[in-house]
Amino acid sequence: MTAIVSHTATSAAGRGLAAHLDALQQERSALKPCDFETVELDTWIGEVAGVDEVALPKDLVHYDCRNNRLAELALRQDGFEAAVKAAIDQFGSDRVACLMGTSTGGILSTEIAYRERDDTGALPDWLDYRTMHSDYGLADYVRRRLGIDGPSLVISTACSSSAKVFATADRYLRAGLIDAAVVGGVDTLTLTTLYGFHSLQLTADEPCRPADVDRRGISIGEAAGFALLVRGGQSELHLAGYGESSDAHHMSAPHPEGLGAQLAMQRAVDRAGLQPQDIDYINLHGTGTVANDISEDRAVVTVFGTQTPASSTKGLAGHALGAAGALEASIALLCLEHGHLPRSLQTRTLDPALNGTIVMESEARQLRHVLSNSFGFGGNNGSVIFSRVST
Amino acid sequence: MRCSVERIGIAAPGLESWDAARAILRGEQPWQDQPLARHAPQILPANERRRATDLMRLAFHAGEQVLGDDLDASTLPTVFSSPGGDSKIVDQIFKVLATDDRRISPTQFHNSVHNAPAGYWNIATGSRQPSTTVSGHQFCFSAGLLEAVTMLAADDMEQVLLLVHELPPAGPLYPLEPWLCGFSVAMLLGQPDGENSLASLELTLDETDQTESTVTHADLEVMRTGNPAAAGLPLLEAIARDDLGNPGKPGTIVLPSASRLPLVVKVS
Repeated sequence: MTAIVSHTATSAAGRGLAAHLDALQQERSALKPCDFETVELDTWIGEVAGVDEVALPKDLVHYDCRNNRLAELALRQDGFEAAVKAAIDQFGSDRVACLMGTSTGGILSTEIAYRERDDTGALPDWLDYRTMHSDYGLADYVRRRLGIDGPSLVISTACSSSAKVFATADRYLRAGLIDAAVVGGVDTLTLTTLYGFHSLQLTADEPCRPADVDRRGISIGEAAGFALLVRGGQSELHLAGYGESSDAHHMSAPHPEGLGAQLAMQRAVDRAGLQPQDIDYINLHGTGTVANDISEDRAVVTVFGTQTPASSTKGLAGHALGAAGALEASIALLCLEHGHLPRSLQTRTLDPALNGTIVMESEARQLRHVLSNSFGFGGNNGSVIFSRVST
Repeated sequence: MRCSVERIGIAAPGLESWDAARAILRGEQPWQDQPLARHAPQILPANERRRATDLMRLAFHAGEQVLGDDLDASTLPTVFSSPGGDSKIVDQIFKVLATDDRRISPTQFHNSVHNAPAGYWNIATGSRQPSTTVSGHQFCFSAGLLEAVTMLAADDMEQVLLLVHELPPAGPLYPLEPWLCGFSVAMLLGQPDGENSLASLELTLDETDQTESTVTHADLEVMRTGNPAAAGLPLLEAIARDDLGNPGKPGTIVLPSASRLPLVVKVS
């Protein structure tokens, strides 16, 4: 197990852990009708307030784009920066990694730039592809911002991106490449994702309703989540295991029986050295599409049976796409830390076709092991298990 | 960390197979600037083959060489790595979004995710193994290699297939990323001391007096700096020339890495 000594999340639900815990306990959704930029779609979104007002440090201003501004905003919360600095002081900057997940990067900037092409079709000078548009720009920004000199990369596997970075970090730690890792994910609202998911008829025209019999699709959100993993670190919270798989089925629809999801969850349980019945709560990928929720349910029941409490928290702040893994890791860790079993948010009438135990009333409950699912386009699946161990 | 290189596939101008590339890298054959043929992916069924994007064709061109006709791809974990996503597709999407009619094609949209080539590969091969897609920009080769070797070492995989590829972008994006040509390489990596190996590699992130490795052949050195996916050419050269020079003395390759310390690869 790898200690998680610090974590933080910023989303439409608010800045930092206290805001997210409060939103969970109050069951308060931050979703709103889409009024983002020039988007004209009948859909709901989770937008982070105040991102445009965030100023990057002067020496990193060439990284300025919505995605890096959201990263900057999130990094300032919950003493995360200070925790990273302590790890760098302890191990040396070469021994700390920066492993990020994103599906959008700063492509909003490029979208806007395309609207500003000149008569020759050339893009405006202000667009820096490497620091703004490129996915890797996120990891590049975060590592420079935090003073990290160890291995860095971005994993871009759509909605499983920032779950998989936990697996990569754990591997680098066990291989002896590093002693600590900053992992996380940042995705921001873009025209591409909003119009793209709409074109696939996967967005709902109301707040998403995972597990609901009348669910009609996703609500896209933006978020940033970060976690600091430290070899031999002191913490009650740990990364216990991970599992990864591919569906080998379809680019944008899950395997009907959730075969890939089964594999990812089983591999996570096995790697954690646990049995399925040891998992006290499953934070579902639970996007609110007809297809995902039923296939995920079938996968959960196959691996865990029907009794393991499960719920989706995407009703809180939406589906943060490439950042969903990281945001929901923070949510899982909050649930572990504070003994909170969250209900399936925005669910009104439970779909009778679901055979798993979907939590419909939040309650205080001591949890030891929580599993979080993140499944992406291309049938790419990541499951991560977090554990609370009394020190 | 150590691994074996079991097979290599390559697709670049004048380098259309490992056998051909090996001879050129050894100085036994001249390199000719021949444009890369547009590949028809053999692992895709006919209707998907027609619709495969240019980037997928490039990635699969090298990947399929590694499979040959005897390797079962359904059991292979994969690491796909490129500087970013599919710039041709995103160019098309951004042009549509800049108009009043913003209806993006749904197929274009799901093909625009960076792991689209990986997704199609897994669907075509039936592989349910872990698959990751790394976006490493100019460091995509070393980042992908590090990820693949770490999977082997830490997750006890038998083999991992690494595919690194990139095409020059289209239209207005080209001046921002003016790659000279397309480049695609695939390496089947296995546990160290494997029986059928082209080379053994030992990887570290380390201080070194050596500067960043270059390629002996002048035209291929231009290719190395002309496309981030080609940054591994010095490693391919070391593998190709392994038995030349001083026998028994490992060649050491220094690759730029997304970390302060470079990726140092000892080849033997």
